[in-house]
Amino acid sequence: MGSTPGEVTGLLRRSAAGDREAESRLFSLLYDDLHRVAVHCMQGESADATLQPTALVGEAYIRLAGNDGAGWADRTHFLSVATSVMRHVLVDYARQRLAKKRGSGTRPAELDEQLAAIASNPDQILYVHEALERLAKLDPRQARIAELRYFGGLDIGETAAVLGISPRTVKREWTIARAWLRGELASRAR
Amino acid sequence: MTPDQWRRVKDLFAAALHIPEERRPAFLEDTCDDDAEIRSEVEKLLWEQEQNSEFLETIELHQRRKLMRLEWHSFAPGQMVAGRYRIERFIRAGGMGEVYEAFDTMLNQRVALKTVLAEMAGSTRNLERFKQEIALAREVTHPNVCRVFDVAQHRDAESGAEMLLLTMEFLPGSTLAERIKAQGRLTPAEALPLIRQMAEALAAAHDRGIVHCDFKPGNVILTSAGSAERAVVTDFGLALRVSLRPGEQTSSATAVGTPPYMAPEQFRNGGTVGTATDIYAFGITLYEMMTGKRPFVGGSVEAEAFERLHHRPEAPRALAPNLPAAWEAAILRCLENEPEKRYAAARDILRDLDPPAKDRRRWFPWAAAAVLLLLAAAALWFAGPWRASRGGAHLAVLPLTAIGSDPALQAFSDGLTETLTGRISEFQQFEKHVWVVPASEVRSAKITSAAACRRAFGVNLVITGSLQERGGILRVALNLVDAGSLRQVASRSIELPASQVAQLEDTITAESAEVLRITLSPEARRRFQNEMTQNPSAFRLYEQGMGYLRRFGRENLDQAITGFHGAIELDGNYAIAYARLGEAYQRRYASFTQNPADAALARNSVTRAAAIAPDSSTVQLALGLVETGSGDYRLATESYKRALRTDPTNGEALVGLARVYERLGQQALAEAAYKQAIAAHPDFWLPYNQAGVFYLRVGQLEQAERMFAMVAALIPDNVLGFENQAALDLILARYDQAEKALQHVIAISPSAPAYSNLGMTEFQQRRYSSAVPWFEKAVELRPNDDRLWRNLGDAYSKVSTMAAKAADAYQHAIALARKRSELNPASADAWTALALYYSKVGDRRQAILSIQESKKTARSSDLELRLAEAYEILGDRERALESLGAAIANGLKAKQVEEDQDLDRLRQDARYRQLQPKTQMKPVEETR
Repeated sequence: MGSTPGEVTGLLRRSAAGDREAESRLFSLLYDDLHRVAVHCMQGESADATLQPTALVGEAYIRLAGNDGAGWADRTHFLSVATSVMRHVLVDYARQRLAKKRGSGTRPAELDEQLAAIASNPDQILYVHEALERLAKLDPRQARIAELRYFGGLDIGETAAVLGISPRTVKREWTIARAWLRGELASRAR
Repeated sequence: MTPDQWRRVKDLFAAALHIPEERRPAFLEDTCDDDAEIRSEVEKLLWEQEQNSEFLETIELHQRRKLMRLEWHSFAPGQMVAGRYRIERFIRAGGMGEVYEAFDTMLNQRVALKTVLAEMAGSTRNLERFKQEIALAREVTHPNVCRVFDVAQHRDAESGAEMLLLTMEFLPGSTLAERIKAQGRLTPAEALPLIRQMAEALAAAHDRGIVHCDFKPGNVILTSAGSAERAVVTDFGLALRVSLRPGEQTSSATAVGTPPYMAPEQFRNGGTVGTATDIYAFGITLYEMMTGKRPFVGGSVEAEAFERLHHRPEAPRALAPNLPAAWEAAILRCLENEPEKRYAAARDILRDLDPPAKDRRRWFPWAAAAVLLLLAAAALWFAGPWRASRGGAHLAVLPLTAIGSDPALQAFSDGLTETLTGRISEFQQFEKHVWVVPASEVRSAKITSAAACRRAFGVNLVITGSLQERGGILRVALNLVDAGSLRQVASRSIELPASQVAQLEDTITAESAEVLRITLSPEARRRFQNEMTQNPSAFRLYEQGMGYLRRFGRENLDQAITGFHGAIELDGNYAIAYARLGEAYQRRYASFTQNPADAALARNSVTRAAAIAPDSSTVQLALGLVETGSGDYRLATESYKRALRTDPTNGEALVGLARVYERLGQQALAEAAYKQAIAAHPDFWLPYNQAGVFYLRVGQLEQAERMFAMVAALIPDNVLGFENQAALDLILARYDQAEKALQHVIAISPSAPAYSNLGMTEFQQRRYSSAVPWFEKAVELRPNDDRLWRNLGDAYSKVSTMAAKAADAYQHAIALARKRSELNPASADAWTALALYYSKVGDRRQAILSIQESKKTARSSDLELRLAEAYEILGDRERALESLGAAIANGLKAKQVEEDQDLDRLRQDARYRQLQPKTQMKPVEETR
């Protein structure tokens, strides 16, 4: 699926304003590109295990949106969408890994190696994913905070900026979500 | 559980966290009423919280964060940031944030500007602490540590978000990581200078209690342009500072750094970060440099961490069999799991990699060997023979490595490098597509690797080699390396009994000719042999002399003279030893003593050399050099022409000839000689540079710029282009550009001309007190140059508080120019300089006398201009205008007059306007 320069910026603004169609288009664009970039990175430098500033998502953004005209608001919204994409990528990847472990899956995607470094524990990824789906029913905002923190790797400040809430709230909610997740995972793992 | 219940759970949990543990049951009793579900949930959460409050805060999360970290280009080129920095371009996104090249408009210098991750900027308390930490890091001033200049804050106009900025030294070049990626593993010889610099950098910081915390090849910048490969460690201590986010203490130090370079203790809970952590990271870096790979490769960060906690790394020598055992041991010692087993200090590593001389076996049994038989020269070919296709063989000879640390062997090896380079340059007469970078250029650029040679000199082939003496056998290994692929094309190993060392020159000449597929005519071989000696001890002394001759400083020159004398005593017909002796005396005279006795000795030696071997181009070149130095220009042209008779495309002879013509005022002939040198080797940068400097001197700026553009195109990474471009910019009054280029030059290789020209940029803009320190620096570096003293005097005289010092500076200039004129009475340059200096101190009589002397010899625009300045200062407007008219007739341009502060008043004169000078320009000093 291709995109035209500037399209992403437009999509970002529309989806930020609540346009669901724009959001889903954005999502699929990003998902495709994230894979492409990951594979590209891998071929380029044997999965440069430093994982330094590979910044997959960042590159995806640059590739999609070009380098100009990205305002602050666009950035935070992009982080939000990108986190959802990242969650999907990680979950898909974890499922593949587990399927392979059981001997039933197909060969994992090429970006295996690249993702392995950030998803070395596929069980945990799946458990967290499922637990967050349950949490979302009780407390959607808290689930979103945990998603941004865990899947997106965003820090307190970024999470607060994405959701437009105070860093204190993010911290408090995250502390609780973490304790709760620990309990959920402990019961699943047994 | 319902959303309402969950909200209640969260509130109670948060509240309970602030209550001492023993009082929590009572608290929950009171607050949960009788909702057992809520109570048990809160208790469960509290329990989980107790178990692991850092749950999910793994390195992996840290990695995900990095992966998500967007490569925003926060700033656009041209944007002003923090009211002071003008963004030039985006360089890269690093672990900390973005890096830009920027221009500090307040201090007029180029800087690297780094953005610091957003979380730092939020609180002022953090900002203060951050500033303190930076202040600490700034205390480390070391040539191999990237200097941090300042911390600044920038407010995003759109969002109002605060951003922290760091400015630091701007270092053009690539990182060590990029180098390893491009080149693969380094040889010990390539690596050692870099390792030494990195170790010094770490040691300098550790001495002040500063830990890097994120040492890795990506944080080492190699500024390889120009005369030294400088390794500069960046981001000192920043990793730790940056990691301290609001509310967190050092606990997050475990997540600091880049996992593959992190020490085991950083992964362990409660592990402390210290100098030993840096030593470990240094060890991983060395491992990677020497083997091309990192140890401990796992599928994930955790796996890799596990690996290093539980396994020893693979022995480096299993990956790089040529690595010395001592190096392997040193690397593994850095990688010990227990911090206390590692090296205590970074410098200790060097002791094991490169032991000081006294620890090694003394070398000197040159003539003592009893073995008489000539061992067969073993030849090995690799990767198929090299063919002289692709436009010919463009070579550089890297200094041959002396294995062992005997200074005599080192000097011998340096001398042999010279000899080999010289011989190859003579091959041009047989194969015109061969050129070789003069040994002096390779030396002054301090280049040690084939890859750097290619970058600096644009060569396609590099000769490397080593020299070893053991048990009376001398072993020379020569390798021909393709500079592009860095593959070894051919390799020769020559073994000779030490007693037959005199044959070495003949042998390596023949071997290198063969490897380069060049057939030497029997006549040429005979000619070469005429210059040589059969006496092994004489040869040894000669080569040692050559080694010393090519080093800097008076002492080395004296050593060289001793060596050549020794060689001549042993072999009274050793022609090139006489020639080099003459060269050595000439240099001692010109650079140090200015003692006429030395000049006379120089003359005697070269005359003797010419009597023995008149058809040796080496001898004729030495003759030309000495004759030029003493002002016998006619004789010098003859000598150079004789050298060209046997070797018609000899670049050194052509350029020498051109210089003499120039001094004789025969510009057209000089230009023709430069053109001939260029035509002989159109893809060799050196003649272009020399011609460019010539055009600069004679005021043909368009031509000069064209030549420097060629130099820059042929060797884009060499500092030479910047230096000369700066001189040109200075003439054209493009001061900002000149200053930028000169700052760059000085950062890489400081020199008196660069400092002086930097002073000129200030002086010409009439910022005299800013010019003074640069001129002082120039004089300090080169106290024997009268032009530098004159500049200093001019600057002093314009600053009221320093005016008293001007006279002293001019007197220095006079004394030096006086010596020049005595040594070379035909030097119009020396006489006009004297005239000007005398006029500046008000000695009218001496000034006039000097002017009269100068008129006996040739004219050129810059000499006439100097006379005009002198006349003007002396109050003789009439003659000043006359000289100025002559200068203009010789090519002087309007800009040059307009910017001349000695002629400020003259320009008001109506008669000046009638002279109608042509287009744009201004006076120059030769930059090289």
